[in-house]
Amino acid sequence: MFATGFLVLAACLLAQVIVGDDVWNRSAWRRYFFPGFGFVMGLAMWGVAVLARGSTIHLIAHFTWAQVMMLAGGAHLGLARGKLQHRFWRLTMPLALGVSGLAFLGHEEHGWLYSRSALVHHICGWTLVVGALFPLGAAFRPRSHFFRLGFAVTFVVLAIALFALRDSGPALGNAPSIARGDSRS
Amino acid sequence: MRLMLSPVRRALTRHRLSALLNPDRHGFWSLAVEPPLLVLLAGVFFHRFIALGLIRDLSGSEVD
Repeated sequence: MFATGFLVLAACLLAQVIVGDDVWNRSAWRRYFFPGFGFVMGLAMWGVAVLARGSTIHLIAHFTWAQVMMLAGGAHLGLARGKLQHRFWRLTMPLALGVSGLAFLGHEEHGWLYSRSALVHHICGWTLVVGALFPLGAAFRPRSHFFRLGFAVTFVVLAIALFALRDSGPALGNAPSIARGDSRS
Repeated sequence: MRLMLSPVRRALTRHRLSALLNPDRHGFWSLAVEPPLLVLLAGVFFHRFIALGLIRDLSGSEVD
């Protein structure tokens, strides 16, 4: 489900770069959609964290993630509204991505190839850590297409990685048993 | 025509139909929350709520 959210965010970010800020911001709800959606995903992350009961490190990772997502979403809502003006508020986005990536990496105790879940955690973690460079650059070069496109592509990669968590289902078709990790003990 | 019928033909394969006709075995979430379906939903959402409005604004027409 979060993969779907990231995919929608990525599509919106790409569309915003393509059409430009002037056209994108003509509609008020479009102006608030990205930061608002990010804020709501941060709220939803609290619920996900609660599901990780019994594992302290999962709780800490998800709570941290939820807080920085809400901080970034809230700050960008303020920027969109005009309540916040200082450009350093834009640094909440690279902070959110960086901390999220570290949370992914920190609570994954196994190596890259231990399981599908471990692989996805490592991919997502490093994508977020490296992807944090794009909003960091965009904070100081807001009109740079390179940084803004890179930011959007970060979410595309995240969405693909999260969608890859599932390998079977009627719409998907069935992966061969060897690919489903039946050899795992 | 063959390209348009291809998704329909793929949807009507036996193992997909048997999963839909026997939901108790799979569960609602297992059937509903599948990546291809979610990507479809994301695309429909983007088309309906984002793209149409953007195209209208790009062409300079009034949005009511």
